[in-house]
Amino acid sequence: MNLRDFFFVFFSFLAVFGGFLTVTRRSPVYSALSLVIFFGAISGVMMILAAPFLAMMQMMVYAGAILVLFLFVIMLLALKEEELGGERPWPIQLLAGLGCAMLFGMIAHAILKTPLKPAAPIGQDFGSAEAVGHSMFAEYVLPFEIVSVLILAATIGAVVLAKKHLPQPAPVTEEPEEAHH
Amino acid sequence: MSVVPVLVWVERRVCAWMQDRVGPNRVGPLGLLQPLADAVKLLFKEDVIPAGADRMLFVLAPAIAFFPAAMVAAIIPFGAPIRFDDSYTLHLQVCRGNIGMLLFLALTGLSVYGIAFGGWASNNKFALFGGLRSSAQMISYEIAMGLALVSIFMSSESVDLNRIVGDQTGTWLGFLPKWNAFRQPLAFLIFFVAAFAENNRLPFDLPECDAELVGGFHTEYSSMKFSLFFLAEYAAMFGSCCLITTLFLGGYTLPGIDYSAPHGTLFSLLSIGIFFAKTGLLLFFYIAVRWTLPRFRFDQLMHLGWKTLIPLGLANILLTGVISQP
Repeated sequence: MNLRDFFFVFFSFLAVFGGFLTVTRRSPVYSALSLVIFFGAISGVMMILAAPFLAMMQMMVYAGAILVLFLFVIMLLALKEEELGGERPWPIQLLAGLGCAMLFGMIAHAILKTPLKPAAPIGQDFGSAEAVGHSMFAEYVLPFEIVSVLILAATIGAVVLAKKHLPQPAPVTEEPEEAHH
Repeated sequence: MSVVPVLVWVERRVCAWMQDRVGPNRVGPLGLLQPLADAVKLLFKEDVIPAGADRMLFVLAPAIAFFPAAMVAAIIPFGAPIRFDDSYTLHLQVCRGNIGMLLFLALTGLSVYGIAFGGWASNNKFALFGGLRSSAQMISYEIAMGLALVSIFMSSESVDLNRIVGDQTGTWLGFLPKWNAFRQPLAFLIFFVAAFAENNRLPFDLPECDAELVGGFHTEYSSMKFSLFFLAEYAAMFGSCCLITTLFLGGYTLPGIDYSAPHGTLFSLLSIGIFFAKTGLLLFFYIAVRWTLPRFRFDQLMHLGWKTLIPLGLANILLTGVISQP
């Protein structure tokens, strides 16, 4: 086992560990922290699989931006232990367990059925910022533009939703808490 | 990391100088050993963990805060490569290649966590507010920072820090150095302001804000945990200054010297000196600003970030694209 394999296994186990903690922690803040560990480990795996650009994007976008927003909300809510609710009744637990087992079985089956071939040799430049940029702006420019329109639509939607309550001066109602969400 | 104590000493001396005071001058020559004495004092102080705090995160947070700040140094090319007998070249940069800049952006994204977790785990509303402010501030200014970087990448046609440095050698009209600070003045300004905000330095130190938040996220911290936060802040400041030097002030190069020709060890060592001289000047500027400007209000901060810096950054990218059209 060379160093590369060692780190691959290390990061894989770290990812599984982080993912496991994310679903099992009761405190949402710890779940978020575990999710950061998971994202970090996944980006380590990507790094080993010759995709440094993707690895960094993973860190920047997921760990650096999206999860910080999650954390923001979690901290503002500041749930107490009793507000998290008790254990779920056993039929639901059983059902969830069965569902997970089935999903795992299906994925494992699909992986085992696929014949594993040695990976095709890749160029020196594969996965670098330049290579990704070239394929994004030359080969896949149309999907890229379509996605950007989609993001624009989402942004406008977010602004409209946030501004919904702004224009009209707040009417005097029985419950003033209704005015801001 | 060893830069930090010196920096603290410089900070206190400059502060005193600007306020017409003497500053620490008792321990060692000119008070140079004062930070050492402070560090020893901090180590021996009682380490208090508040009763209502989340113990694990409370202990973990300072380490999480320090890690990204220390990692930034890995991507900086500190000097021209040293060649030994043509057979071995020592590159003065740990993480070479074209993902260095992206690593920096990822690390600045991560640096929020230490502060946010620290604020939350303290179980103190002032600390929590400090943490929340910090997350909002860092997310907002990260975007402006990224936009400024994009225009630099466009004009340098590379994301490799070594090539960006190499691109800045030479002069225009014989006297103006070909630095990105002159080629991309707007990007320089945006990046500079955003770097201040990312480091939570005055006038952007809203997360700490001693007037309204007591001490912000580190209110409940004491002893070595507090000093780790402290170290992280100064290390991040040093990292940003190194990066600004590399990106905008020509890195380890000086105009009028040919860096493509083979050169000796002494030459490389001198280039390190040049790099640190530039970085030192920037750090001095950082400190001078701290003792000159008052703190922003939070809404002003958000206005500056979202309504000024980000549109400016976008306009600058457009401008760069139009100008550098072949």
